[in-house]
Amino acid sequence: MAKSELEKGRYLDLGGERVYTLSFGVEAPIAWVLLCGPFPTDRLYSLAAWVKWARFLASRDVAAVRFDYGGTGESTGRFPDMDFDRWRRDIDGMCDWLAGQTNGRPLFLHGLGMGGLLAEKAFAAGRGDGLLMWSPALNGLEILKQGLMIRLSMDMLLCRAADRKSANDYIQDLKSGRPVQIDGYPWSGALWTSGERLSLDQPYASPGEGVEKETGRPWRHAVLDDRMSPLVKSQSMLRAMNPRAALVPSAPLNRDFRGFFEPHAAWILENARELSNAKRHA
Amino acid sequence: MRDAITLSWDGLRLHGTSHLAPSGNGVGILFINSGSLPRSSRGDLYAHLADSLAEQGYSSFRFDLPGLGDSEGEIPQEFVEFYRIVQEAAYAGCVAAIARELRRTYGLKGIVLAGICGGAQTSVFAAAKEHGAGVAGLVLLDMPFFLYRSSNPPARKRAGLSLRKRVLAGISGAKVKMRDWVLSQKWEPVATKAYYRLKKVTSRTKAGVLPPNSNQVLIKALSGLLDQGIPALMVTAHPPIPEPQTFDYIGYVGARAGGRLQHAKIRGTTHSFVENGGAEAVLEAVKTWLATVAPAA
Repeated sequence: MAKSELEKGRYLDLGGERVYTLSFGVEAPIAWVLLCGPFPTDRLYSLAAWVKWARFLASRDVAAVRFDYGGTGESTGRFPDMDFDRWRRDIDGMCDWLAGQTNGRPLFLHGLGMGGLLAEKAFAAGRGDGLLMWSPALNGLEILKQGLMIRLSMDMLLCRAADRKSANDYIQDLKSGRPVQIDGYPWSGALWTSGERLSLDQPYASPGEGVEKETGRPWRHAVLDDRMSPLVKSQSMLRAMNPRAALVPSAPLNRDFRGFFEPHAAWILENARELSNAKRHA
Repeated sequence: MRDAITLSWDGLRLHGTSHLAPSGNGVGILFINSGSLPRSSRGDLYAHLADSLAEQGYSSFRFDLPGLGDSEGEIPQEFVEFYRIVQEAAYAGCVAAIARELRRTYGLKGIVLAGICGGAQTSVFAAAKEHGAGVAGLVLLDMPFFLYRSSNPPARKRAGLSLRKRVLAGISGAKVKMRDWVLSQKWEPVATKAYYRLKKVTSRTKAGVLPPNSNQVLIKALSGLLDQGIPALMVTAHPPIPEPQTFDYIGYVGARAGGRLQHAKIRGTTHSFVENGGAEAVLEAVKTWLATVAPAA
């Protein structure tokens, strides 16, 4: 395959929308990884580092595929029609598509933030041969409450004190079906209620790793702190992105993550070999 | 309809998205990354603008510049370094090459460069690099005319400095400490208000003189393009709570532009144009401007 075709963007028809995917292929992949990205407002900051991780995997003979959830990023769809259930179905759709690509090689689901939570749900339902989570959200409300903080801080800038709403006001708005605009995305009541139903299952909720007894599928839950920005959002990064201030405080934009990536890639490779061997002996 | 497209520049693979118009006048629009954000921009504003403008007959394109979003390449490790290279036109050659390639591939007779913040600066530099050839216009969204700089400059060895430089460095350090102290006080808002009132009075006495922190290269490049007859639309965001008065750069550049520079003010929104109907207002301003400078067939 020509080098230009190994890394390829394309649209897939999933659930009535066109979902943008970017494949980072290799000639003879040892494993495949489906990258399930974070909540749309966090995607802004982490995407370049996330894509670097995909290229790092490809350099270790692991094919990776990233995609944008329906209604976000490059994918089509109206954001008000989206909720966690819909994005979870996008992961299912991507797994179905990848089933035709992997040629029997193990498929790992890897999620960051919200993607960790959704990937875990797909994994618990039997999708994928392994699961890697980086700072997965413990539940849907955790993600949504962080989003509400953005709304409240914007209100500090845009509204006089008397006109400002509280977090509870916004939650009531959402529960009553009134959309709330957050960082350019019109949240719906369905997004809120689908978030209320969603939380990480045991035993994946605690940092660590293990192997499912019944299936032998490996999983790992790692926590990333502020030092891993821009892979995760940090306060220093937000301060550096203030466009009206001529004086810019120090904040990392492009970190060398190779030291962090290496052991996670090694974990995937090691488990991929074990899974492939187990399949051969089965 | 959105499609995934790829270009190669300087050995790097750049990923982008096309939104082709079913019919049109042959003028396309290329959106440039807003700062370090991916090509969809905050709240996916660029993606929605591109969809809508394609429906209006303007094929639209969005690419991640090297090291941003999906594209290959390296960018500086620190935000401030990235801002510095953007305001020094580091991406101009790349954007000019993309614009040329898009015009060739899609048979466009001209291309409008559009961007927020650093994307606007890069649009100006790229158009200037191409000497206006093929650039049908500029859409500059909340473009900063001042220079970004680090709030904590690297510590210098004092031993090698002259007495004068040491004194100046001492004064500068004391000013920073004073500023930080004022900002931590309860009465800071009153002091800030008084400071800006005083500044307003002094700025009147210096009317027409660019502030020392101005991006002179950017201002010169934009003025040159307007002189060449390239039309430009400046769109500025104005939050409802008034911000301190600053130098009127748009008035300064526009004074000699003979109507080629149009200015749309969007009230109640922020720099990223996603608050309080900012996105719809930007779309309306751009559509109205395009209808005068490059009417769709």
